[in-house]
Amino acid sequence: MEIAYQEHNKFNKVKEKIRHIIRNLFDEDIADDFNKSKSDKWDSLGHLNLIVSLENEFSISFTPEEIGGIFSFEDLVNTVSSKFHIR
Amino acid sequence: MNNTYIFRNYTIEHIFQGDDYKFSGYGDISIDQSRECEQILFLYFIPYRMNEAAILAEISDYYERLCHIVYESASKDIYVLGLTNYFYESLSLGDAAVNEAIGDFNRSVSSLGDRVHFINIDNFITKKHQNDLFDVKYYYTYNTIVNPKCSKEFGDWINEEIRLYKRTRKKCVILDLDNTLWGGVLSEDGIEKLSIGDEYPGSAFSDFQQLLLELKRTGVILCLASKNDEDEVRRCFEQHVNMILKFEDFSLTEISWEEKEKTIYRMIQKLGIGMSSVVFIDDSAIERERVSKSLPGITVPDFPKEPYLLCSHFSDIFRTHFGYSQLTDEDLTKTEQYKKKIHADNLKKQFLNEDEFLYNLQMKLTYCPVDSTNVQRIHQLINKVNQFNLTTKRHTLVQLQEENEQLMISGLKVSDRFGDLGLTACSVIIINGKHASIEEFLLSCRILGRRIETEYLKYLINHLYKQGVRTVYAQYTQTSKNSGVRTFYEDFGFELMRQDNEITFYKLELHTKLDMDSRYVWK
Repeated sequence: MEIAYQEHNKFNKVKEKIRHIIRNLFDEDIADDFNKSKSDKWDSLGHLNLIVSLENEFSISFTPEEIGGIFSFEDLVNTVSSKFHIR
Repeated sequence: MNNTYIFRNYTIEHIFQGDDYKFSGYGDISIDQSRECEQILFLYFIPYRMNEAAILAEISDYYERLCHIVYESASKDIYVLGLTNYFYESLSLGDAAVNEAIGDFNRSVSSLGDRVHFINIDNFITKKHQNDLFDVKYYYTYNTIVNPKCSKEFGDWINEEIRLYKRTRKKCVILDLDNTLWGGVLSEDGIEKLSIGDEYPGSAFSDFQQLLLELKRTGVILCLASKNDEDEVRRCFEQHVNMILKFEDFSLTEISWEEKEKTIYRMIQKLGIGMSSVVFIDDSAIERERVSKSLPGITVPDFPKEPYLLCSHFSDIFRTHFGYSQLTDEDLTKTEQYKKKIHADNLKKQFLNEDEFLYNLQMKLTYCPVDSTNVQRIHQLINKVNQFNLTTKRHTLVQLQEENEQLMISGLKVSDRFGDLGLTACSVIIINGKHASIEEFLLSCRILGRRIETEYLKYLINHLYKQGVRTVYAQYTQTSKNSGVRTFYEDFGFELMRQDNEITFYKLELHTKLDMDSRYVWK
């Protein structure tokens, strides 16, 4: 139970940090269901900027498959979390 | 700096973000879009290929492209980034040939004329670790050579290099004597005891004098402003065996006990040049401060604390203030023969026109009806391409896999003499008896500037004609990113029917088959 709670906490931290990063980059409010089709700024250049920011912030590296498979805020949160073995 | 048009062969959008920059298609040399821009940047990287012959062929082709651009863009400044194979080890087996080709390209750039400026990429990469410059992952995902993680640094560096070129070159250096051109104080130590010559610190002052002589050779005026006795100074220059500069090397000398700011002001008036054309060099911090405070606009660099730093310190400063003409002067002598050779034999041949350029690419096009092997790629293109996209309707994979006889979905594979560019264009057309409607028509920016779009559309229309279609409808839907293709259908020959807010409707009546362009080979 305690461990599950900690996991959940970590997950939320990651999620909020990502939300913050996207907000800074695109200058838009980021709801949980935010995705590519909802933003003009999330085009291919925006995507690259986003990937690089996340790689730098979290000191992680995405695989090309991951880069190509991210379409939404949720995808981002799940992909980044998987790097830290949360969920 | 605003309005730079960048000819490029890889993704660089992450380096130059903002409205001040416009980009060609990959490898595109069509000049039209660059006409509105103030200046041109030619930013090519050697190709990431595993085949030496292809790398060499491409590099020699870059030079032809550059010549074409220089020739076509009459009066603009063109900045050219040198080539390098430092970003990645191109081929461990064949580096010698590749290096030679790179060297040839870089040397040739400055012989293309006064408005072509060479940016030496070595100045950037020597400061970076190879792994930071290139990340092969981003090559495969974004077709870029410059690692996005150093894109800002790289962009800033290039802009700074361009700014250096634009700055007007200063004209004059005014120099102090004691502890500046030699070690020691002439009026106290006497001629014999001054340090200049073979032994350190004298050797450092000798080298500095040599550097100043070099500066003079490139047309910079040297002047002396020293608190000394003039006769003694003259005697020193005449008698000291290790003196490299001669008294005659100085265009103007003011040797007196007067305050330096007054002396210098008078000198600048005599020379008839602006304050901003002058660099003043003195070892005394007090003199430097007085001069820079009372003579606004004059450049007064710091003076190094140790003599051994003289040359490294001032060669940087000289590069900034007197740099670029030095480079062209150097090229005048060094590359004179080279220049003649290029102009006589090659240039005529190299300045090919765009038609020839396209022809030389030996493009091969393959029409690919949608099937299970390419549907993923077509889906990806339809949902990714923004610029060359007439309608920007997105489709799901399911819609594309739908079995429907009225639906004609196809992709186009492109290759040229350098290699395969893959499936880079696609279209969705609905056929209804004698009528057809183009729902989607789009090209990856990878193949822009090769007029493939027209050829592909002709092919599609002929295909429709064969199936009995006599009227083709099309539309252009304006988005924030596709204004470049606004007149595509009109230019092709479609008739404008009506305009409905951001959607423009066209039609084309078919009477016969259209002639295909011989520059493309269909497989």
